[in-house]
Amino acid sequence: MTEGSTPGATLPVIALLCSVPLVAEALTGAFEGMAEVRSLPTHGGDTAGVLRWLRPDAVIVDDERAAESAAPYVSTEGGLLVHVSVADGTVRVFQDEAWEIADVDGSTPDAIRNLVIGCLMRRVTA
Amino acid sequence: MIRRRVLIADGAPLFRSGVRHLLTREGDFVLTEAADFDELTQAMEDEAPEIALIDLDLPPSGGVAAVGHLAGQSAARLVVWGFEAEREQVLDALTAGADGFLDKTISPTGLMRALRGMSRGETPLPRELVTVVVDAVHDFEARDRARERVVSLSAREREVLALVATGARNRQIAEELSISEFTVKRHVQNILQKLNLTSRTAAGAFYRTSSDGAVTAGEAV
Repeated sequence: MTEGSTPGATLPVIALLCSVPLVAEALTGAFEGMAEVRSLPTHGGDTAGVLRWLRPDAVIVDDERAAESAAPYVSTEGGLLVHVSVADGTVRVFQDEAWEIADVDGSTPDAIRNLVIGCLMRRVTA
Repeated sequence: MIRRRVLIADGAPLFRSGVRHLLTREGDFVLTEAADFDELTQAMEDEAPEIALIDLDLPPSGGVAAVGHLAGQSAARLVVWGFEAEREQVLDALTAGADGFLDKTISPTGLMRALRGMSRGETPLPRELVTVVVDAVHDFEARDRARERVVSLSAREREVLALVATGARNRQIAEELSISEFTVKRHVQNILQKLNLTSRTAAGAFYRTSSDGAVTAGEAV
């Protein structure tokens, strides 16, 4: 987590790996003031390497391939991985080595943000 | 600074939010949002936007139908956007009255460039769709030229041509039209001469171009 605007507070770092730039734009807006968002394109590149460098608390992807390439990093390094399907509005969360469908409306950036923040809070307080 | 009015009509809040966040940051556009066709028509009346960005899948009937309804009624420049749109969808949108087409995977920079260009009267089209549109214009022109030449044929010759295009032989055409095989042969010769074609195959191809493959033998008369 990084230093937040409130003295002593830290903000979670969220990596957005999006194939649709306007999805990244929407999610960046939704997390404003709540997280430090790092947005990266999904096409090409070494996803695991980028994530090792960023060391995010959560990873959000909008692309099946990016989801699969980010999963091994999350398995070994920890953190939260969320896959938002732009096509059908479903959201999957990767935890305990498996994907689970989340009961949220994936077409709404606020719902995705609430899911991610909720998961992060539970991890901190667990 | 003049802030131009943009309307986004999209059933997905994710995209409306993305555009809202982008335009708020850039500052030279004022945004109105609509989630479906009813909200779109209401917003067009209330806000009179200069540019309307309409989703290809706008509920309930799609963006092309919405553009068809709005084109000619509104001074707004209408742009349809969608995911991996097929050639026919793009052409349908433009034919319905859209002033441009954008892919929803467009970058924020690209979208801003497109919106600012539209304010100057430009037509936004992704590079890969420009070829589609140019090809379509050529197809339309070829069809128009072919239709002009078809006018020189008699009604009976058009019937024969339509059957030739189906691959029918002279005997089959004769039976279908209740005329002699010799008469069919003469009609075919006249058709080739009038259309300046050298073979039945060429005549069939010509017919398909002139009718876009949609006209049956009976309708060709």
